[in-house]
Amino acid sequence: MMRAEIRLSGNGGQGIILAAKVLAEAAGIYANLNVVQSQIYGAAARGELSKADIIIDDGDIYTLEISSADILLCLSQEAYDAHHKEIKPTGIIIIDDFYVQKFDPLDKRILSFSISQMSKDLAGSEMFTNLISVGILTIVGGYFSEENALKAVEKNVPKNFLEMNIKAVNMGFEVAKKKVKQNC
Amino acid sequence: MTKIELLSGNDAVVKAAITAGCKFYGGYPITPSSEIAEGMAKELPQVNGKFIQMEDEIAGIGASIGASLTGAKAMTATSGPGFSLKQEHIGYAIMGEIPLVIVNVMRGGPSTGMPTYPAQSDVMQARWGTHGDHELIVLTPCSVQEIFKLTIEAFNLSEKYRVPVILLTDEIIAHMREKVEIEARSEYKIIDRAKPTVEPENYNPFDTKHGMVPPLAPYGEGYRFHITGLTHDHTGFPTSNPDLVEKLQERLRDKILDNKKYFNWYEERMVDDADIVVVAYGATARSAMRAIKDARLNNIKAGLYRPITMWPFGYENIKKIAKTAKMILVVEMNLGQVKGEVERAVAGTKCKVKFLGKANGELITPAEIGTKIMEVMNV
Repeated sequence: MMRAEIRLSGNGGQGIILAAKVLAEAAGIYANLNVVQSQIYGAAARGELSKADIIIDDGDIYTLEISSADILLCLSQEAYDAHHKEIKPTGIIIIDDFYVQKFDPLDKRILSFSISQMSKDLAGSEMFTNLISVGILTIVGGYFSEENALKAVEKNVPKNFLEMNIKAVNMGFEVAKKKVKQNC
Repeated sequence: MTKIELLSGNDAVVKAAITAGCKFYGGYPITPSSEIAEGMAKELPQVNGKFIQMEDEIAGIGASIGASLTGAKAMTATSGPGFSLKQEHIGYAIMGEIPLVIVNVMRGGPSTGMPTYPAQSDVMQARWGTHGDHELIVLTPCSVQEIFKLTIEAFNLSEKYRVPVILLTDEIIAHMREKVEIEARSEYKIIDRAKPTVEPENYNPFDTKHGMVPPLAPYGEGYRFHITGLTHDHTGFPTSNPDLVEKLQERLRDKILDNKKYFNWYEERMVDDADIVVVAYGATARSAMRAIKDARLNNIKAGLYRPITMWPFGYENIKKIAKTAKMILVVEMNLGQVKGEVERAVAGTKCKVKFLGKANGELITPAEIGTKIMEVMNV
């Protein structure tokens, strides 16, 4: 039986909730796995800490909350500080190297990516940080295919931004593949 | 064709309400139910329905009652303090026998409590929140899929029995997203209220000649009749004649309780040989499902009883369990509400009732239930 717990964290406005929805649909609708997606519900839109969880399972899901994640995404220092202990010993922590600079250098589970910088390179803003993250998480997790992820993106982003979003996800795929290769 | 969608519990209420034929929503948004108002505002105009945001929760249910009397299937949704405000009109809908669906997404209380955190502490308020003797129907789903199903059933029961039906969800299942299988509308059994077959001049809104639930004429189609919160006779006009009042009170009770067998819904898992049966509902039942599986792996014969129809309460279902199980463990996100009903149900048997409750805004985890099972079973 497979159960995967993914936690996305960052600050409100970074698009965490949309990223979580895309990942959940990729797993649930397109890869036909079971999925529970939830988020903290608070003042996230005002730039405070934001968190979204995705539980993926090939069986029924009874435990609705994550106690320790398999994959943790931290897009801000505050997010890293708040959540970096909520991870399994075998888990993977994905951090943005611009926003998360204070982390445990000895923690072998950390994979650092220039996510926000990649978004700036792509579009001159950090708007696509979340979708680049979706690409990275798809590869690092390996719970569903790239195709599944792209279909979910197509369903969830506005049509006039689709091309850019697809580019962003593909950038995520590429950097993650490189990094995963290096680590092997 | 079956469509699979990823929906939050609140989204599922909206989709199901439209499927059930809901044409009116009167309400006032309140966390954690607001997405229902938002969704209905978007969906209703597309099916020639009406959405209206009123000045407060009382007016929201009042408008919904009015709409229902014109023949529209109507719904309102709320949470916590909003549910308190709606109680007076819930009584009015019971007395006037006005079909209506009320969704209450439970959050921490009392008062404004914890708006963004879950609770299951409105079980008794759903039953006895409005004053006076009364019966009504309350349903408690435990997944987004079941929210979809029970929202449709809530409309059906409400139309069939001319009674307000409360869908009691909680913040967890209301906000989490899960896969939901949705069929074409024609695949669902949709019940519409019975209309009168007599001419307007011969119509009486509470005439029981043809059964305990009289047909309800829609206002605006030529049927002129009186609806009141006062006790009334078959014409709808007030009476305090003890014989007529007694007949009315008993009929309002019996139309629900005599038909209970048609909606006595519950789920049992591994109950037959169980030494300990966990009683849980809503989000808590999901944790309990995991906990009883884990307990079985530890050689504890554990089972689950999950009320789906919360009210009228399934006393007889529990009583049957109490004949074979040594112990019942009630688990709920409150300080003990269903627990009391379970104690009433098992009275006179040897079955013991234990309790695990929490009202701090946290979901009760499978591990907590597992630990409690071990503790009460003396393992």
